[in-house]
Amino acid sequence: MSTVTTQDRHRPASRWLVLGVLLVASVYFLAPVWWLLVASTKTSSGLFSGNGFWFGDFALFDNLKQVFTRQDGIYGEWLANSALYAVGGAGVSTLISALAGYALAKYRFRGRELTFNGVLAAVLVPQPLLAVPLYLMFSQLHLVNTVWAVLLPGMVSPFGVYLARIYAAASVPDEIIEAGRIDGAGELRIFATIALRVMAPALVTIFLFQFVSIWTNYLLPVLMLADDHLQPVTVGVVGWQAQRALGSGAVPLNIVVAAAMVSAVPLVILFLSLQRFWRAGLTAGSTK
Amino acid sequence: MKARSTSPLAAAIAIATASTLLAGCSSAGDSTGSKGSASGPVALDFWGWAPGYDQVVDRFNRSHPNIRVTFAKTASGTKGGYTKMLTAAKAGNAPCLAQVGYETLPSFAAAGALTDITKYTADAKPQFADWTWRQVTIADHTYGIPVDTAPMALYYRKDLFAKYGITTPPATWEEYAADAAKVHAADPSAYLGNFGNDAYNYAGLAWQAGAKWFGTSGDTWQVSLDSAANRKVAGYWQDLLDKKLLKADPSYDPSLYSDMADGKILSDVNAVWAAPIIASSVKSGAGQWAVAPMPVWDAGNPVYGNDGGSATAVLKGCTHAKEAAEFATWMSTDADSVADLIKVTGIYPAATSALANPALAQPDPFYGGQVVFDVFKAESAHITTDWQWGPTMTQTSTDLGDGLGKAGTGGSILPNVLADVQGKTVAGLKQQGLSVSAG
Repeated sequence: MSTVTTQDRHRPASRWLVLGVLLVASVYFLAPVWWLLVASTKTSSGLFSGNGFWFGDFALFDNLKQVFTRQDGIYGEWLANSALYAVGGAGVSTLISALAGYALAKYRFRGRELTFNGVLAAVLVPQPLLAVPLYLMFSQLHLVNTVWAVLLPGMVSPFGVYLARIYAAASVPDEIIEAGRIDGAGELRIFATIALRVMAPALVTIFLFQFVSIWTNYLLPVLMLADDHLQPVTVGVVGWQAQRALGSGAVPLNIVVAAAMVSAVPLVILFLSLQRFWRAGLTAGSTK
Repeated sequence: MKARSTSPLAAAIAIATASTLLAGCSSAGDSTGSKGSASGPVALDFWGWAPGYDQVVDRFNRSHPNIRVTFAKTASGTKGGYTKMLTAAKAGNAPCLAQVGYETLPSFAAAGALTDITKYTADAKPQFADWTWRQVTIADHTYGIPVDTAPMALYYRKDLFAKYGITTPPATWEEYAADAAKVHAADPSAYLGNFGNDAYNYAGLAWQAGAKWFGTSGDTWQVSLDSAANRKVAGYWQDLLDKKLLKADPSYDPSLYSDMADGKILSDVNAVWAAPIIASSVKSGAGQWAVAPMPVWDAGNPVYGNDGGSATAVLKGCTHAKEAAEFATWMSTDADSVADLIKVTGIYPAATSALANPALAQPDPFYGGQVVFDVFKAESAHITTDWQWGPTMTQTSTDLGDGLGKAGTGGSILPNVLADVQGKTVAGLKQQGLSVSAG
């Protein structure tokens, strides 16, 4: 074993330690996902017998068929609603964050720091805390139980503004903006043609963050909506879960589990396809 | 239809509503709960989550041209539904009608989120057993109409009982303790029953023994979790736990059902709604399961407990309380409506006349062809009458559930758990600004 490098020989213990910690962490995070994947392939009785972490009687396709045909295919509507809320909310919120973050980073105006500190403070407020005041406000505006009640709050993301400002300050050089002005470009054009492109990795990150937080949001739609056909998939699946064990309207647990599994699929696809932007965006803000 | 505790947030909102509710709150926008023009039918909104309620509402609308009920499906109570109802009541746009579990009704009342319908219920009252009516009545004010109840019984494996020499299922708690010892002596890995961590199941045991937790006297709440009667119940179960005669799997946990399937747990004292849960979760032994009355304290005077059930409540700001009461009464007592609720929703009806419904006379093959509802029907006339829930059940049930789990694993003992929950509950009531006395 003379090929072992000096480095390896000097620090095997710490290497194993790091490896061990990472291994435990990944088991901790992946085990529930694995369970969900395995459980969604089982029959109702198979869920309670045999090993929970390995496949039993395979019924995935039957489960999926039931998920999408139950209650006249309402699950598809829920998915579409979730997609509408998440894409609409995250899209608009990304644009607003880009505009606000760029302005806060590149323009000097009175109250700039105050505004930014306000945004920072808003980052610290947990979203569920705002659900009830929002309901009270929206019910005066007669927006309760409409699509807007879920869409509008999703369009605001203090964290997005914060991230956009940090990123714009670090990555959009003042010289380019100056050059643009000298060439006679308007402020909006400079923003749209130069700043937006430079900020793209951060914007993808903001979009992803906001998309995930809207997709997984539960309390806000629960409060705002009282119509099964407007609900996002989170509320729908939890509703099914509450119906297990009741009369002929009961939803078997294997269907609930399969529905939960399907609802996570769009997030996985989104993450995998935007992964490289996401990683660039995460690190860029912190290193500079 | 098992009703469970509300989320911590719901409790927080209940507190907030209770302390800041203003009389004129309903001025905020027009109330969606009670829009009725002079010419058209009275419009009532109805929030709930149980499947089948929409069918019943359709049926009502067809036969009642003067009232139009619109059902909207919300998240189930514990999953945000109650929070939504309380928030809407605060915003002044709550629906007239809402599905609310008995255990949650007092917290709605304490939050001022209900409408008193006592004067419209004179005809409805005689159609329900006294103990059921008490579940919708707080300090002599009636706030809703009972929909379903959940008497408790003993679910057991006939073949395994016979194997361990138990010829008749235990009729009293004394026999239950003796049988528990017999089973465990014959096979140390087998247990007669399970001591779960579900506070409401334990509440049913206390309920049966007349060991009240809450009461009201005028405007004052009485809390008596630590009473002599409660210590008697706690002492009984603690004794079984001390002798290690019960398994302590978490309630409704997969481990419980796999122990049942493996013949390690022979029986379960649970509510009527557990029948389909056990049948769908425990696959082995189908046909060998049976249902017997819940063991009693006094064989000469058998009385039973209840674990669950819900009402159709009338929420604050309802301007058509009379019509709301009419609908709620019809829903719980009309023969066709009840038949729908039994078949689709899976309820065990509260109205006494509804217990004769043919839908409750079906033999169940999982229970060896037994008509299981006959057991509950016989019991439901003999449920202990004076049980009342308190306005802090979210907190109380969470605290007790934690304590039961600890007691099951030997980390604490039940009398101490009850004393602890008593203290926390009294403090919780005071924190809500309610007048309270320990009793």
